[in-house]
Amino acid sequence: MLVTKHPVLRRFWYALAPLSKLEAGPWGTTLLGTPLVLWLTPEGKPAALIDRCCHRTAKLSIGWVDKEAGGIVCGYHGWTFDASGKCIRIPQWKDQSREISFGVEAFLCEERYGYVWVCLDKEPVAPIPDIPEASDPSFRQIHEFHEVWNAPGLRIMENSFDTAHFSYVHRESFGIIEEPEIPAQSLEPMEHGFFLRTLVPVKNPEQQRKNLGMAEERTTRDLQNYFWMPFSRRMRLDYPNGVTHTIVTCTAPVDDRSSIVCQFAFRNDTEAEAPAAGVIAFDRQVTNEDRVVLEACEYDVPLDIASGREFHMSADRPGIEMRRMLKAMFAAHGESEDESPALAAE
Amino acid sequence: MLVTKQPVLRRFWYPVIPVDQFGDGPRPFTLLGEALAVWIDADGMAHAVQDRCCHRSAKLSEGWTNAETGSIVCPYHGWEYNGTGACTRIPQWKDQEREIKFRITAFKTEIRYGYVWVCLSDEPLQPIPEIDNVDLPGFRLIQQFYEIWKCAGLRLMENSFDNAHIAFVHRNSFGIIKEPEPPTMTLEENAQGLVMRSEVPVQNNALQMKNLGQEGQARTVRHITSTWYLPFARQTHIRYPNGLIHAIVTIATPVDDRTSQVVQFCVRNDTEEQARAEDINAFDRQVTEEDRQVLESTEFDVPLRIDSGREFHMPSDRPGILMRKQILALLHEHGEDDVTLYQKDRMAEAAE
Repeated sequence: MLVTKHPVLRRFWYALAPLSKLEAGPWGTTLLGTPLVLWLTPEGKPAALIDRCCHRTAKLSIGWVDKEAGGIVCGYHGWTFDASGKCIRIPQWKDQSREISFGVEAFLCEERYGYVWVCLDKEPVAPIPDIPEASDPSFRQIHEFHEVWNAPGLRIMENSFDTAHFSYVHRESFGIIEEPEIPAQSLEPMEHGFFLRTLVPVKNPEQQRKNLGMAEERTTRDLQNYFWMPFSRRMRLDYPNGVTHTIVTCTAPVDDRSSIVCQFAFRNDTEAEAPAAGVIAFDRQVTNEDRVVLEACEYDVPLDIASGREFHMSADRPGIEMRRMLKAMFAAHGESEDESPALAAE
Repeated sequence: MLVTKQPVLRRFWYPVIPVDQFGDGPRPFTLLGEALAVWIDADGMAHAVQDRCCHRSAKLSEGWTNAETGSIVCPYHGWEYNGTGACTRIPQWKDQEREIKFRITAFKTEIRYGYVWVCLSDEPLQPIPEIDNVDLPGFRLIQQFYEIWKCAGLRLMENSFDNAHIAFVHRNSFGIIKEPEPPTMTLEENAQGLVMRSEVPVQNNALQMKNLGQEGQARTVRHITSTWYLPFARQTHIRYPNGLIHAIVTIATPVDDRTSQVVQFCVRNDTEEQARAEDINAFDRQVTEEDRQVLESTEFDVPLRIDSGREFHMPSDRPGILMRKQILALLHEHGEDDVTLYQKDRMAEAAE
């Protein structure tokens, strides 16, 4: 699957950056091959425009925000655009009251959970996913990572639902390499995704003993993992002592090969009980372990399980279900899974 | 426009490598996608040939020159070529008298203004631009920049004739952001391009006051006569009220569709005692870096049609619009269409 070749993927919301990233000024990025500039309006709302001025094609992301005018200013000639993309100022015009009838393309843009979400299509097929912990006062939010991985979202997602890799990829953190067999898991469909639940025995290394307030060398995770089409998830981990650590991992396709990864957590303990720095340090170790492996996998993921390019085992069921759901969605929108011509030639 | 897809652009002269960068051997340069080996022989003559030996395709630019014959020597098996591209020696042949019929493509070269210039065609459409005052007593030529910019040459040319960008792009050097209305200009088209005349009010920072001999003057006026030479060269003759002339020559030699080798030097009527070359270059460095940041963010496949819908226009864009029109007319005159990645533009071309 080459994500940029599937227009229906433009109809989902993607988290692209923490809102705070835009406080320093406009930020340029790419979503599904489309260059975007994200910026904050004077009201503090995020806006997303195509990252090209309609005058001489300069990137708007090298410009700045004019709070008085209420727009983003192109760094080349100062043409200014509002959040709807309308050109609101051409400083060179003698008659500044003259109506300007053109502008640049604007995209749906919302702030949610402290992040900037963008949808490239006017008609999203699914809403921004709901996170119950975000409105539950007994939880605090911890921002963890915002970075680009050289891996497609589907690889990151299947990994997030794959209990079999813990023993190997995470053998230095929480996986038990002597116990490679996976525990039983249930998988239930839900709208725009599925829900997986399993009880996983894990190692409890020193950093985690501090983070969880548990002296034991082993513990169990009651793992409740929600997959949101196409490339995001919310994983709630309930520990026996009542601590809940929910990880939200949102991946946004930059192009066919790489993804923006936004990860944040919700916890029902306090900063005094488990400092955020320690929580982030452990999750950092875990995500870096995943990243090394995922960046080594092929980006053009076969959706067809009989492709011959991948073999499977029962623990792969979530990833196979993701492939099936994506394939069904593409079929429903009249899109077929095109193989990369470059890869076919390799 | 994708420059490597427009053969007529091969019929212009471009500066490729400064004479002082040769040392004693050949150097590689890519011009309009064409890989060249360039060298200067012991008599000071410049030569340019295709950068491929006709034997096993090795790069001749990795070789050396034969001091006696002035030929270039392939580093793989020692085959030699003279400046016409004729193979002059095959060291492995027993009979060294035997006539060699092999040859590779050679290109026209000239040495001007401290650079080796190359034309990829035997029939250049225009001569190398004549730069004013260079040989006159009282004037000095200062070499400024030789570097790769990730932008199309046309973007740099239109920028050089654009009075409107100064207030914004150069707000930290000489532009006045509070006065965004661009000064008026007169334009005159001719066979090799166009001439623009304008009077531009600018601010003077501390360094410029020194460079211009205008201590204490926070503002001044540039009397500008700017000449554009098809396709990617210009000289901008700036006269200040005190009589100082600072003429900037900029050529954007096309390397490939996305990349230009920028060559810049200036010609002035003052002396090193009055203004140090180092200070002059420091100020022009700041200005060119400001342009570079913006221009490298622009799209390299510049639309030549002003109704492409990919660009909107204002009156101060007139020089850039005339450049687009002249280049498009040049392409048509030589039986070429504008080659672009944009299908809409291709269809508009085909419809004509």
